[in-house]
Amino acid sequence: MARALGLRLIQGVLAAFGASLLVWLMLPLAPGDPAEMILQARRVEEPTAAQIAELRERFGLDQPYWQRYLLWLAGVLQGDFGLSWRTGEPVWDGLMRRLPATLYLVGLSFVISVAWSLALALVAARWVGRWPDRLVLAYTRVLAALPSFVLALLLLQFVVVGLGVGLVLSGGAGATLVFAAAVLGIDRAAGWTQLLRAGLIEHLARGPADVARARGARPRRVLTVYALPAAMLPWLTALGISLGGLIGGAPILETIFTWPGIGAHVLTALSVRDVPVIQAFVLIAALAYVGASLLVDALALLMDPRMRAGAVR
Amino acid sequence: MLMRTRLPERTLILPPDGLVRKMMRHPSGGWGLALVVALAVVALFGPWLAPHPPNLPDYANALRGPGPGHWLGTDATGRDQLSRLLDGARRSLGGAVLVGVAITLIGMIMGILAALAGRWVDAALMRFVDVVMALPGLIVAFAVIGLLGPGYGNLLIALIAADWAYKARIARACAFEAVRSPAATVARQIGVPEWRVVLHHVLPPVFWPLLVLGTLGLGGQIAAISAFSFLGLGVQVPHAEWGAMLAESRFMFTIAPWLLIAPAACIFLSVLASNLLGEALRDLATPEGRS
Amino acid sequence: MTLPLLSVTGLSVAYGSTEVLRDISFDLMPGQALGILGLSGCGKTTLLRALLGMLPPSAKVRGQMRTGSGAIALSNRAALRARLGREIGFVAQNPFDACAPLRTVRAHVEEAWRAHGLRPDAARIAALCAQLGLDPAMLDHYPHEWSGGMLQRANIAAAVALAPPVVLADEPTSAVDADTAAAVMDCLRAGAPGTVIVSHDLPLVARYADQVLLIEEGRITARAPRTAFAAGRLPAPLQDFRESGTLPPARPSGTDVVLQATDLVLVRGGRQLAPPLSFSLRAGEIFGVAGRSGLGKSTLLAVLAGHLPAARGTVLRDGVARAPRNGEVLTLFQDALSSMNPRWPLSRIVAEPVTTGPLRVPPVSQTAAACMALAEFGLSHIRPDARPGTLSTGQGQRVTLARASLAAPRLVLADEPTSALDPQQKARALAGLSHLARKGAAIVFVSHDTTLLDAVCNRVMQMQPLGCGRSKQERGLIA
Repeated sequence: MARALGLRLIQGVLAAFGASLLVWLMLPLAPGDPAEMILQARRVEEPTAAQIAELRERFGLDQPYWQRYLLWLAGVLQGDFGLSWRTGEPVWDGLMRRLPATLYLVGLSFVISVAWSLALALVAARWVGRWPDRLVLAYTRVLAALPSFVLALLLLQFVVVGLGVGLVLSGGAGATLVFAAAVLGIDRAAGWTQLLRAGLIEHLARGPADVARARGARPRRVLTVYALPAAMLPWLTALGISLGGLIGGAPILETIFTWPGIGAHVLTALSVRDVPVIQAFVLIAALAYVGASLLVDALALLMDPRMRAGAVR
Repeated sequence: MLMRTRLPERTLILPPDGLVRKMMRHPSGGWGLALVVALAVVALFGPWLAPHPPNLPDYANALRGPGPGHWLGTDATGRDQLSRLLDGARRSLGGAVLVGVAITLIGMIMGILAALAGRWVDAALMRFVDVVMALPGLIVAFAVIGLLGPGYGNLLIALIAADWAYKARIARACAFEAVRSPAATVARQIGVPEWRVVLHHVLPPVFWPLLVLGTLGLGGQIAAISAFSFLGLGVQVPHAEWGAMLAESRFMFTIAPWLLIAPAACIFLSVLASNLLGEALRDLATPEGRS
Repeated sequence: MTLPLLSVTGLSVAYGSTEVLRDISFDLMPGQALGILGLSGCGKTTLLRALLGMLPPSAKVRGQMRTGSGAIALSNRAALRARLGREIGFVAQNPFDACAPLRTVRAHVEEAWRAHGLRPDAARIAALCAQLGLDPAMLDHYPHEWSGGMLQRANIAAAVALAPPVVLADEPTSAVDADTAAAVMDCLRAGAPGTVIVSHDLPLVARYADQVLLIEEGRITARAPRTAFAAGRLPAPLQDFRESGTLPPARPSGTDVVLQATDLVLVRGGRQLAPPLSFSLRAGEIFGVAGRSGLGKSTLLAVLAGHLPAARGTVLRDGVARAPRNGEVLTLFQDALSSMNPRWPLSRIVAEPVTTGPLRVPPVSQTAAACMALAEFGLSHIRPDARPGTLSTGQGQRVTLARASLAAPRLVLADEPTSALDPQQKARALAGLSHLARKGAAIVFVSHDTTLLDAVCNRVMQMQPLGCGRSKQERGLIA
């Protein structure tokens, strides 16, 4: 079991670095001369030949792509992600300074959406087809159709600007954090509720639940003791995987909430094609994703005795 | 956004005949179908339906509220919002459909190829898919945009790059099963030529699940196109796109709320329509839902 | 006069205007077992669920039930629930399906107490283990670590934990190996004073039940005591039921050798599965292959179908070592529906063999050929434009037989083709199979059910594990 997890870890890290290789392989496809791109990123409109030559020298742009990749890789393995083309600052410092803010937002919103969707799905599954279920379904359907940035934008304008609360623009970090996390958490809970509700309903109809009922168990016991643990596993898998993906949504959401996280930083890098920053972001996001999937695998091993025995794969 | 939708475990079967009729009878399918048809008309004929030129500023009429002449009001430069919404529909919706069709085709071709060829072709293709899938879809999209630069065409390429791998994996799983399915085995045994086995017994079990998945994913593509355009990474000024329109007017909520509500409503309705249609398709395709 | 342990009067169940059960009444006396017999779809599962109060809310239930604590209306689900476990025990069909995979078997047994908010009685569990022959140490293991027969005993322990006077059992042995089925039935009889066994298996019911009820189309059509079976004084519907499940006798085979296998060695995952096999198949015969799972029955079929090369040994077709030609071999799958394109109408499925020739056959002729073939296998009442999804399992198997008759293969490989069928459907499918043999095909019939093979096959080959006596054993006659 530990060996299987170790194997997955190695596979995952390899895949993450494979992904970084993919990004480098796409680099020649990028239009324009990198040196000119750097200067444009620094708002130098008409670069001189000397400036270009100096930059090529400094960032090693005159070397072939594969050599640059190996150099980059060697640096990354030592914790050095290179210098930002736009600011000249070390990429690592720029990202790490902003990462905690992003993690707070992502973490809090994750907790909120897990709790919220768990509660909603249990209510819906307990009264399938009756009014609480219909209400939950209508709610999830509306929220699922509302992209989180649209919902965030509308709520922000209505609640904060419209009602004059004004906490976001005044920069009250704690209040912004709670507000933003609540909006994101509630929005994301829609899909997860649907997933868990479907799983609960499926397991309520299966043999073990049926047999428990035939022993005289009450509906609530059948739901929480039989359906919930069985439906949790696939749900947690989906949660873990999207947890890994959450960091990818940071640029969009942090822009809306003017949250000083990694997202806005990456967004600036994107708009001026600051390749080292983008590259580092991709690698970090991929590793986060791998880490989340591993966490989920470990959790499944803990929860499912058949997995522990290696009976199912 | 770009959430990877799960398929029911049972293989999807979907008899194509009577589909529209069954769809109309499905509780949400009828609504979904009607909305989709209406939106398709808007997306196809939007520019001709628009009462005003969508990109022409008219400063005299700036920030007009909804009323006669400008049914949905005008923006800060006096452009008619209804016309811009109609014009933007093909970028928001057409782009999503284009992306959906592209990834379905890529996924199907790669999946069937891998399943039929087997051995190292299969292994190589699937390892490649594994690597791409080690990245969340949004990250792939950001990486591609970061390399190619902002722009609508690049955005579509980025979204295709973000989602094809997942489709290829599903298609490969379906094709792998279909190639070895009892139905295909029997067809081969009685002497049906291989190309016809693929056409009759492999292609449909791959195509229909991908169609359902593609429809379910359409909402995510619409949301992604508008989100990237909202960030300024997609459709560029002065062209109209719903997400970009939100970005242009996001700070004018107190003086001109219609500029925010109308594009948001358009995005909402489109995603809702594709979700409803996709769910109906999925319900009709799963065996329990076909009674 | 003794009172019945369980007495049901006037039970009817309806969904909307369709009545699925009508006016069911019976008594169960102390120390007796009642067998409820019926084909699939006759309403016996509905009957069971009605007694357990587990029908969906859309079902209209009428009638009443009397147990030790008095009479209640069967529509009163809450009152019914209070009696479950205490006065009525339940044993499900498939033990693996009944136990939650994430919980230990002990938790499964303890549910009898916990469902009613009681504290589990460890002494009672230990006593049950001793009575039913369970290893108490195994209780703390998970269901997937158990064998089916033992798990079914644990299931019985859970059902009788609170010592209910009556236990309801739904096909309690159908998911259990034949040799452990008898032990399971004995446990069931020993566990509670009164037992209700619901099954489609007439021999099983005749052996264990003191009284037999036959349900057909939602009604009780016959009642008989066990003695009536031995005495041959069965009521007409039961007699018909017995005869409809009678298997067709084996017919003499031809002399043409279709396939000759010599010293065939089967290998899976680099491991030899069974001693070398030698046998020949003649046109028009049904050749049975019996043996436990894991002896390579499916590998043997794959070799005979030409999908796998034999690890060692030779397979001669018409006296020549060659791959099978198109249309020469046809496989019949256990899950017949999976071998049909679910999007096609039946006429197109059945007529697929007709379309492989060099000439294009017009659709009208295809449909005509399909209809004739369907009629040949007793399916003339089925619409040729129906989809496979509307068929029952038994009808599905006969549709594949109809397709096989149009393909006219020389060798038919049937892998447990009847294991999912009730007796009547089984008899019909087997009649179809021997019809196919009469038309000149050699049929290899793989099954774990030796009784069935002995009844329908010309010859039976018993596969033995490695190092277990002779490499092959052939029984039966070569006519």
